[in-house]
Amino acid sequence: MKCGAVEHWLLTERSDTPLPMAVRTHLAECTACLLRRQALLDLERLTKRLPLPPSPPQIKARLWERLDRSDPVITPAPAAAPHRRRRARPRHTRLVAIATVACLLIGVGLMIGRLSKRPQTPEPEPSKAPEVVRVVPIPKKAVKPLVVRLADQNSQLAAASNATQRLDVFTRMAEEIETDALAKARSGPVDEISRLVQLHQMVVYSGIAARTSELPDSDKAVILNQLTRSLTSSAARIERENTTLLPAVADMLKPMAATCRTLASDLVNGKTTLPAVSPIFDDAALAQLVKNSLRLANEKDPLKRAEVSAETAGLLSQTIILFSASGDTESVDGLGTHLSTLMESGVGDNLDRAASDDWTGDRKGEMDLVRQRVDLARQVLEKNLAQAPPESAMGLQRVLEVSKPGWDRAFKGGKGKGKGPPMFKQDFMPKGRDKN
Amino acid sequence: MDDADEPLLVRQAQAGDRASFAVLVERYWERIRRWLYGYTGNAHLAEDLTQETFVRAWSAVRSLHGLTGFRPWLFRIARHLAIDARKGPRGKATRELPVTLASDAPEPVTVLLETEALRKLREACDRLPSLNRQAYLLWAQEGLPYSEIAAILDSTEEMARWRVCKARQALVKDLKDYLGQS
Repeated sequence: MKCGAVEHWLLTERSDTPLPMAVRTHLAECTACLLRRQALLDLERLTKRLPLPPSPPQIKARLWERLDRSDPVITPAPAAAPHRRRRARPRHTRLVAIATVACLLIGVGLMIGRLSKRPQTPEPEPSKAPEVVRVVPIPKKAVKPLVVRLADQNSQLAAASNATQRLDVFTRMAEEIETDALAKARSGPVDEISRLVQLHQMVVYSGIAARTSELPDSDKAVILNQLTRSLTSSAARIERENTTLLPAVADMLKPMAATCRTLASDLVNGKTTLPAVSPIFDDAALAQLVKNSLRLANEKDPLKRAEVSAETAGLLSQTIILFSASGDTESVDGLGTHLSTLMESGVGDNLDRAASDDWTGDRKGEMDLVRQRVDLARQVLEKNLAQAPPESAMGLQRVLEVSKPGWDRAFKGGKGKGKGPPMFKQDFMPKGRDKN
Repeated sequence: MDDADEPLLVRQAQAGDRASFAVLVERYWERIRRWLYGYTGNAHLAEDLTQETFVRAWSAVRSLHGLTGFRPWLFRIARHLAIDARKGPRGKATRELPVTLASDAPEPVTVLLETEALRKLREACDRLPSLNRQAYLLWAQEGLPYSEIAAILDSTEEMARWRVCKARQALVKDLKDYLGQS
């Protein structure tokens, strides 16, 4: 092992991580690396001892006073969602919003009150609610379903403003698919692995590789270096896992490792031509979600981006209903939050951009179509809410509440006053956001 | 620290149980304050932001359904509040002298050396690029894994690893006279 590799290992691992044999052997022979290790150990020890000025106890007391004045409310987590600029709202809009929330809470309270007075076994009659599946509670899962995780990435993609952020999202997407494929390889069902391998290839080539050419020159070398290492470690992880699997299952995963290795080696060799990826003709939500993410990343026209986001919103609405019917409330809530983000960033913000570019008003019709599509997605949820049994209804009701700001934003998107042609508004463009 | 009961505490807090939330506050108050102090360089601002973090967390705890859990979610709230605060009138962070340096009492040489090293370390941390500093303090002080650091910083695990790596490299270089002598 060379000094560079040992230094890298020392820099990324904690001091209490057991030393691998190769590192130990090197340290026994290399004084420079031994000193480097000692310096890193000292640094870690010192950092833990950095002084913190004492805090007056009344600070915490004031916290409880403030908490006494506020109760937890159901809102889309402001901090859990990707951080974005707050829009100033007029006072009267806020009052209306507060009144609406109050009405909704009272409504939900009344509903809960009524439900609690009902006799047991409120099973819906099949003839009255044919399209709602009977609730079968599923055991609590440690990991969310892949479709929920990909929906999260999709909503982040809608909010991403540059190629680096988009590359980040696709890298996470590939990791999510890889993790799911490995989990299925370990404990089944294995028949889904091939489709996941195909989706992974699509994300790696059409999502990750396609973004690398858009990276800014200033950061390109560093990011590509990171990406290469990430792909190589993914391939190594899959190959390592393969040694513990049945040969037939391992064979199914091999193309996934090969995809990572191929792109990593292409990046090292500076190869820019991408291999052709065979399109997936699959209507499953997962495949649609990946395809829509790729379309979103490739699309430059804000109106088209809004259209793709509206389409994805429809897809998420359908998926939410399926999860709610199976009693998976956690996934329902997660998808509701992602749906709201998608509405705000993917539909609302893009419609605004489109309207601001469309100073002649030629594309107003197209914008209306996008809003109609969004409305359709909401109607699907509302229709199912009206016919759902109580167990599912609560989840759907919550989704509609959580995603309400998103729907409102989507409907308002692009309806502001025209701001004139782009050459007149250059001086008024908002400054770039501080990423720190 | 026993985190095994955390999911239960969070669920109870989501159901409106103030006592469970109080346990979470006790568990994370100092950690959040310490990290915010390292990030902002201002003890009073860190206190205010810590308080605000828990107020926000209490009001939004029911919407927490994250895969990554309560801890990264809480640090994300703190981080976003700190980002907003840096843009406000109290904007630019100014580091106050640590309380421990104000003492005139004679101290053994080793303690003095360590105090000096800590002061230099704090200054060196302040010179790090903000995201690298945030990542490093989460890693070194809070002991968070790269996956959680990535979730807090809206980044990938690889990027979080790279930031910690770069920060450590820079700090070792800056503090070369104080490290490796023990």
